[in-house]
Amino acid sequence: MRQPSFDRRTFLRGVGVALALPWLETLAAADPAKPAAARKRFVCLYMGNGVNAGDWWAKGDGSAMELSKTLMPLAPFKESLNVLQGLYNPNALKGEQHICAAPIIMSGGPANGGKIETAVSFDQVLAAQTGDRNDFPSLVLGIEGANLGMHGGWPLIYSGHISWSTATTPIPRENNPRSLYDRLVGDPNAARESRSVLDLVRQDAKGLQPGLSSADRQRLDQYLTQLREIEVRLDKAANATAKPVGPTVAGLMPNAPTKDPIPTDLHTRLMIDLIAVALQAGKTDVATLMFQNDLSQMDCSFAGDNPSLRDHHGLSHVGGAQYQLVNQYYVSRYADLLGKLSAVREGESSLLDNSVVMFCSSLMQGGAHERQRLPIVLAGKAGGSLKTGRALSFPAGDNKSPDSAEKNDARRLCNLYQSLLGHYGIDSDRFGDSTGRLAGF
Amino acid sequence: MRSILPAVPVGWWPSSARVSRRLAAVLVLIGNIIPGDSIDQITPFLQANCIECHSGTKSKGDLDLTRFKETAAVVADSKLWKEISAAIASKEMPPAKHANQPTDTQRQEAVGWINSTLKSAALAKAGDPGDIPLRRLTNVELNHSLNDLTGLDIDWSRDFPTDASGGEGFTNAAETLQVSAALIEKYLAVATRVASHAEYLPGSGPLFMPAPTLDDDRDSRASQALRRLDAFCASVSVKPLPGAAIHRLRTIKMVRDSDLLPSPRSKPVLPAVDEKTVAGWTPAQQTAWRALWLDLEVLAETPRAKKIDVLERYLLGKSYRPGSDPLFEASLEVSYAGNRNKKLRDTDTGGAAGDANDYRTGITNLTTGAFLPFWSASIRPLTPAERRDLVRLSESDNHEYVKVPHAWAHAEVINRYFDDSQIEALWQLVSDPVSTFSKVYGCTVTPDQRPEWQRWTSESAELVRRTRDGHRQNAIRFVQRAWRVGTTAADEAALGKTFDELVAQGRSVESAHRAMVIRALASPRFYYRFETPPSGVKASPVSGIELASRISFLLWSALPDDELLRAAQAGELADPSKLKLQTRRMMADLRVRRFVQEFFGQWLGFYRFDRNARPDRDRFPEFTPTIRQAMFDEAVVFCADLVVNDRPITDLLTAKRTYITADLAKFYGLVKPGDAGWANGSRGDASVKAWFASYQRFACDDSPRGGVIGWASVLTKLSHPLRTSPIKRGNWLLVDVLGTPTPKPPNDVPMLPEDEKNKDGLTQRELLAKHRESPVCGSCHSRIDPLGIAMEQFDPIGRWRTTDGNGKAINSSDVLHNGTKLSGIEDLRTYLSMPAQRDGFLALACRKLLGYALGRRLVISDEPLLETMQSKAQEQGLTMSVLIDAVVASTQFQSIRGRDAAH
Repeated sequence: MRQPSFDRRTFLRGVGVALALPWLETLAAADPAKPAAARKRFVCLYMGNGVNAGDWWAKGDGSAMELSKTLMPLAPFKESLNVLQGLYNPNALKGEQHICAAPIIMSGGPANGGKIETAVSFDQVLAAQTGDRNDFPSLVLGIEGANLGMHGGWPLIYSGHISWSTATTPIPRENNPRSLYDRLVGDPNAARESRSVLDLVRQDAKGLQPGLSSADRQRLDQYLTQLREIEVRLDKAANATAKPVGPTVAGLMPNAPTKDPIPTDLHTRLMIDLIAVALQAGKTDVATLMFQNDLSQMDCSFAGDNPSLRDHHGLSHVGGAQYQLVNQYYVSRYADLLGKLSAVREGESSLLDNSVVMFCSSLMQGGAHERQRLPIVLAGKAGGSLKTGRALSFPAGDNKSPDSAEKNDARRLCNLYQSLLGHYGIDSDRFGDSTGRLAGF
Repeated sequence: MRSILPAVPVGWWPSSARVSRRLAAVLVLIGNIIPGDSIDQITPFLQANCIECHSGTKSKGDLDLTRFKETAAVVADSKLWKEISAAIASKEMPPAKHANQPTDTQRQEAVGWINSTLKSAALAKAGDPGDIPLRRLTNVELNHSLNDLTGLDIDWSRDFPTDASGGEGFTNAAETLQVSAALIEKYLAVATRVASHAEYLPGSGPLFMPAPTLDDDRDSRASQALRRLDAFCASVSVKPLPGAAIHRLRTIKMVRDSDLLPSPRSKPVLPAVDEKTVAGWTPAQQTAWRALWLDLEVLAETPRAKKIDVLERYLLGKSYRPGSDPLFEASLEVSYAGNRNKKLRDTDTGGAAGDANDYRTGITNLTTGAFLPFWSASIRPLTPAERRDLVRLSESDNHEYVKVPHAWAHAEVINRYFDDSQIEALWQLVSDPVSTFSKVYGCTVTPDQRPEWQRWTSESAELVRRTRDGHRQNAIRFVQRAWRVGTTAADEAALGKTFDELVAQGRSVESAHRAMVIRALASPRFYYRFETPPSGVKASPVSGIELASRISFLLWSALPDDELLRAAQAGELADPSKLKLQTRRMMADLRVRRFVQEFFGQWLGFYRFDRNARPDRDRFPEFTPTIRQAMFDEAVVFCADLVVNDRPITDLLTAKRTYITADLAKFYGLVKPGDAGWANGSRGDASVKAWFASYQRFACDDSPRGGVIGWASVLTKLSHPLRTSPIKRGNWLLVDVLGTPTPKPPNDVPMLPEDEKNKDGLTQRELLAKHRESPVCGSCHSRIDPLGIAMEQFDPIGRWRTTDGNGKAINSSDVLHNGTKLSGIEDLRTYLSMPAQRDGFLALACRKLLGYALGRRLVISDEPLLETMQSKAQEQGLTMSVLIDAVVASTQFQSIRGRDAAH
């Protein structure tokens, strides 16, 4: 059977430019073997350095939901939202305040200071379950490079990695939209050549196994697993009949200097678009994107014209109107993604309905490094099992009343993940430091 | 431990001078630590003085002391207990407001117990190589390794996920160096990309070009080979040919047209070198000479180059002397015969016979690929495997046999598939006066051409053999270098087998050579740093080759060069003096710039300044890309000078010199270009000298510059886009330069305005003074701010200034927490040169260097080595070589944990 031809040029015209174009259909149809309805997706968008807490709230249910200024871009999706207020990650309270929270946002942690060690993150638990059916078990994406050095004795690798495939394996992020695009599309010729090399590579790796320590053998095993993942994908790409032609993503950015980084605004929008495309095309079911690292000094001038916007972390301490602009900018990108996903029909429902798309940060009030509660919003019904259109509050215990500990246990972030595992069809009575399922989930 | 720690000497444990008599008694009392030992001896002290606040869920400073029940737990958290020890010793703890204070004796005993417990533990495991998980190369190491292998300068890992840092704050920390599927794919892509940059020559191996090479681009191959020849001639002082003959050979066209081809008939292309001269060269030179010969022979004399020529002459309608190219004619004959015989056309691609007299038609038929079976059928039947091979050979894209439809293609076929008797059969065919050949062409190869035929076929066979062997050998060598495995017979046989298999699959020797290069670079044996641990739990020294790699990745951020591998294979690295010689050689090599950027850059903060620095462009239009580069280079050259010329590491604090370009001198407002000091006392090879020479060494006697505190790069990095940051600068000095531990700031930190042109017109100093009025902030900031304020006369992009953005005069005086008055940059420099600061800096430098060299975070068993490094440095003049030698000679650097050691 001839597969629908996939025109790279049309695709590119679409990426970053318009919402719904025929290419989406084409690409999505590229793998007819997969029944769309059965697929549940998960996306996590992460913003570093916290928010302006005062501008981050929601009240009421359904279409009557009231949204704060920062959350206003989500207004069209009220019916799909779960705005979760008051969740926290107890282990994030222990450790360097800028560094220890991000790496455990999806695992509950704890992060282990000087040694690089936390716990497997939620997205990777899902990826391990669903990965077999996809070209990419997960996409782990970012915008800015890792911070270098140490802060307060904590290696900064922590603050730039939310996805961990093992307790000691932070997944390197793909930050380059061009590379990401090329990987998603695949090139049959290149695939065939790479494939022939991989057999030798596998032999090389296997030949080394006997001489290694058990810990290193495990690392090499992980390597071989990843190799297998590539082999499967390359085999598919090598047999593809449609030959991708046309420009690369560079064609989208004629004015962008080739050597300097892509402007952050465009970069961010491209990554959002590519996530939408990858999900729709069935390339993956799990994606995470970090808009920036914690402690990031990203220049956020794209959100407005003010010198204080030059330093994201510095700005988070100032807070105020300027930081609100930045927060809202990212919520708007979140809304962009929701818009794209809700426009994609999958049988009776939309892609968004079949997903959980999470937006979060490791801190509430950024300047205060507030980890006692976190800004968390979910969108999507996880295929229909998840109730939406809700703004839920989980009050903190006051450390005095008898039910205080109970209250705090009930608002653990990991309880949310334990609930979500159920919605993804994975039975589990515990995730991280969860104490049960989150009420209402 | 929320409150401020004193600036304790970082050499924390009691060195002999510091051990009090009482402490010595305690040491005797304790003896060796056994993991299960209880901490009974210190429990009364903790109970009486600490537990009240530091226990339970509401422990002050997140420190719950009740969780420590055994010495093993104390040792496991040695960093914390060092802080505890220091806090008790300095009387910071228990807090002064507590009425119940221990006596001095009690304090001494407690401190003594902690320190000696930690020390015993350290000594018990001293030199433990530590847990270094299997690591990949960093992106930087990958780039440098590829560039060292290829001789190119390309940023291969541009699209890779950025490396993050761990360990002691460096990107080379093993535990962070993991791979993902995405990364493995990038490795594959890069391997192919690198291979596409090469020309594959049988004599000297892959020859890498700055741009990807085209399959048929022989010009570049020829000219590169000739350039190598030039270089070689210069190196052995052989004069080039008179009349600039070599220059006439710059392009392949000239090579083709020239009679100076190194053909059997004319060899003068190479300088007239007689056997005696060659015999006088070193073996390496002789090998190089032979390799060059082979390359040139293949390039200029390969039947391919020659036959293209002949063919072109036909196509251009030029005259052809029948019989001058018997093999070519034979192929035409075979092609013709094939087209007549329908039975043989099963693999024919359908080319029409046309007029047999038409050479062009014959040539077209040859290009179809159909000729091969026909030809062979006329000599002997092909085996099925041969037929498959040949068909594939003729059908494959990019294959020269198809593109170059001439007899030479057959020459290799002949030599690959036919033995002497079959070659003889071919002769019979072309020399038979009644064969189709002669009927069609009206000519016959005559018997008097027999000697020429024989010479031709045997030379051709010989060249094919040598070419093949050359490609094979060079491919193997490339893999061995890339994998840094030395040369073992076993590897050689295995790799040779791979090569033979590739050829047997129908690849040309060049293509097999290329495939081997891709395989070398796509293999985990290239981008992982494999080392073989001994069996059992005990650590043991790594092999010589593995040690060479460790040294090379330390000093050059890349794989070892040939000389280091040679020394390793000769066992020289086990000899401390020869090891030192190698280290010294490497320190004087230009490649230490990488060490400078990776180590000093990441430590001191100028890492990637040349790419990432970002002050406000509107406010500071003077901050041009040129200046940015010059600022970066200033730091790099300064540190490279420390390494190459083996200067004291403390020069970073106090040296009154800097290295700048004319542009930066102007930017700094330095009118006098300064003394060109490089002529004196510098060593290293010419290239290092040349590099240094492009910068002016500037004696800073009358200038605030000199040392790390005067570098515009660091000063800019420690500023905000629109203002200076005395806090950032001060904190950097305190923590990253002097190694003083500081507590974390409280949660809710107010920020200063982002623009120093603020509406209140306050100076940074005034703003900070307000900030320090709060006692919570003041206790720390009285240590930080004065250091930064002393640097206030450097503006946000590191220029010297007397007024700030508001036009207010800069006041760079302030008083440190301990009463030291610092008034401006010179006071600061003096302060940094004082023993306490200098020692703190040295201790930190040792720690950073060791952490960088090992690629892991330091643990308690490294403490004795750190002490040794510091004392050796103090005794021997603080120079870089002392520190590097101490690291390289250390047990942890030279050994590896056993396969079954606990992790």
